[in-house]
Amino acid sequence: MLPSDIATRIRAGDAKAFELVFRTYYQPLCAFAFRFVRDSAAAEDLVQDVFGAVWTTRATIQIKTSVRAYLYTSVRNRALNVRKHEAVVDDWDRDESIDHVRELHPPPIQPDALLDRKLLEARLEAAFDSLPERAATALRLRWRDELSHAEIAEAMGISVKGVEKLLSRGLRALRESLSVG
Amino acid sequence: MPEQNDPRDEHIIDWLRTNREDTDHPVDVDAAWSRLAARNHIDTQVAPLRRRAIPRTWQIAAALVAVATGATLWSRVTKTPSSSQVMREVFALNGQRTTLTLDGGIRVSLNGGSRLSYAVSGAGSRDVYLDGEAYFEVAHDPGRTFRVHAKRGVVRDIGTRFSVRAYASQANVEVAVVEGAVALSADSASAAIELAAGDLGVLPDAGAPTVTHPASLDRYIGFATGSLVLEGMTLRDVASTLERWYGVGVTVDDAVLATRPVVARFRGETITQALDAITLAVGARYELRGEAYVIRARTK
Repeated sequence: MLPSDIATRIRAGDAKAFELVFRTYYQPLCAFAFRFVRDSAAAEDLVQDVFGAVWTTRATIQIKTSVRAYLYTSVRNRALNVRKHEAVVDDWDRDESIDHVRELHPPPIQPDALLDRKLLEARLEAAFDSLPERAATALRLRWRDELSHAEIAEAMGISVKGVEKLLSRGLRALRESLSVG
Repeated sequence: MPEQNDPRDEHIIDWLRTNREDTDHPVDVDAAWSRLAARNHIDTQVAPLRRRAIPRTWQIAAALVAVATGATLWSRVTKTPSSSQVMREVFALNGQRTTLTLDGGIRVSLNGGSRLSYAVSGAGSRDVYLDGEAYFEVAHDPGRTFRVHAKRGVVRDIGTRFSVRAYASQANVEVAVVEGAVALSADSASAAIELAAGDLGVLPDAGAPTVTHPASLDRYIGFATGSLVLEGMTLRDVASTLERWYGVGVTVDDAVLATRPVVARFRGETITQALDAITLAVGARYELRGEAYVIRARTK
C-alpha cells in the first residue's frame, strides 16, 4: 500500500514518493486511458502527460478524495479533451442512449445445461464488450482497479448514485449472459 | 452491498478481477519512468548507505545514467571530506536489473533491490560493498585483489565468475561460484574457506561459513542472464523474489499456502503471466488489491 502521507510528500517535492506513485499506477492508468483513445501508444503518451503535469504543478494540486482518484480524473479529462479535439464520432453520451435500446432488446439466451467455465468466460467477455462504455468503465474501475464508489464518481465525473446505477446495471447485464435457459 | 446480492456475482467479479484485457497492451514501466524523469528533470533521492567501512558524511551529486542495456541505472557520486576518495553507488530498484563494468574490466550484473558502492579510483586492492544480489565476472589480476563485502562476509576473488546474494531481509550471505575460485570469510575472522566452481558457500549471521555442492546454481545466477529461477523456495520467498524482480507488491494471504514449495522458471513473462503459472501450480488464486498482488487460497 502507498503511505498515507504520499500526497504531502509529493507536494514537498519528494521525487522518490512520486516515483512510487508512478510505478504503482502507470499500468492501470494506461489501461484506463486506452478505453478512451483506443491506441496503446497514445494512451501511454497521455498518462505521461498527466504525470508530467502532476510533477510540474505538485505544489498547488488539490486532492479531493485520493491521489488515485485525482490521477484517474486527470486521465479522463485529458482523454476527453483529446477526443473532442479529434472529433471522434462514437461519443460517450451517444453510448448512453444506445443503452436504453439495448435494454429493450436483450441478447437471446441460449439454453445449455453443460456450460463449462471457458464458455462462461467467453459469454462474460462478449457481454462485457457489448456493455455501454460507461458501465464497462465503472465495473472495471470497481473490481479490476479496486477504486471506491467515491473515487469512481470523481474519476468519471458523475455522482456516487450514478456510479451505483452503472454498477448494478452492468452487473445485471453480465448476470443475464450467464443465465441458462 | 447492493452490488453483491446475486450468487452469480461472485463469478462475475472474479472474472472482472482477473480478465486479461490490460495485458494485451503491456507497458514497460522502467522505460516509461526513465522517459518521464528525463523530460521533467526528476532526480530520485536515495537514503545514504549505513555502513561502517564508508564515512558517513556525504556531498551528493546525483546523476542519472542511462546505460547501453536500456535499463536504468541510478548512481551517485559521493565525496568524503576527510579523504579525497570518491565513492560511487549504483542502484537497481525493484523491477530493474542493471549491468556495469568496473575499472579493471570487472563486469557486474546487479539484481533488483540492490546497491553496490565502490571507490571510483584507487590503486592497489579493489573493494566493493554490496547490499542485495550481484553477479561478478572478474579477470584475476595478481597485482590487485578484488573483494566483495556483503553483510559480515568478505568474498575474495581468485579469478572467476561468481554471484553474491546478501539482501537485508535474509540471514545468510550466499556465494555461488560458476567458474574459477573464491575465498569466503567473515569480516572479523581470518579463517577463509575456498569455493571452487559449482560450490555454494553460505555464511550465517554467526559462525563459520559452510560449503555445499548443489545440483544446480541456476537460482543464484539466472538473473544475470535475464532468467528468474525459483527453486527450493516457499511461496513466501517467491513473493518477495517477485517483488524485487517485477517491482510490484506481492504478498501471500494464507499461512499454509505460504509454506508451499514452488519450482518455476521465467524469462520475459509479465508479472500476471508469472502469477498465473505459480497460482495454477499451487492451486491458489490471486488478485490485485490496492497496489499489491495478493495470493490467496482457492475458495471453491
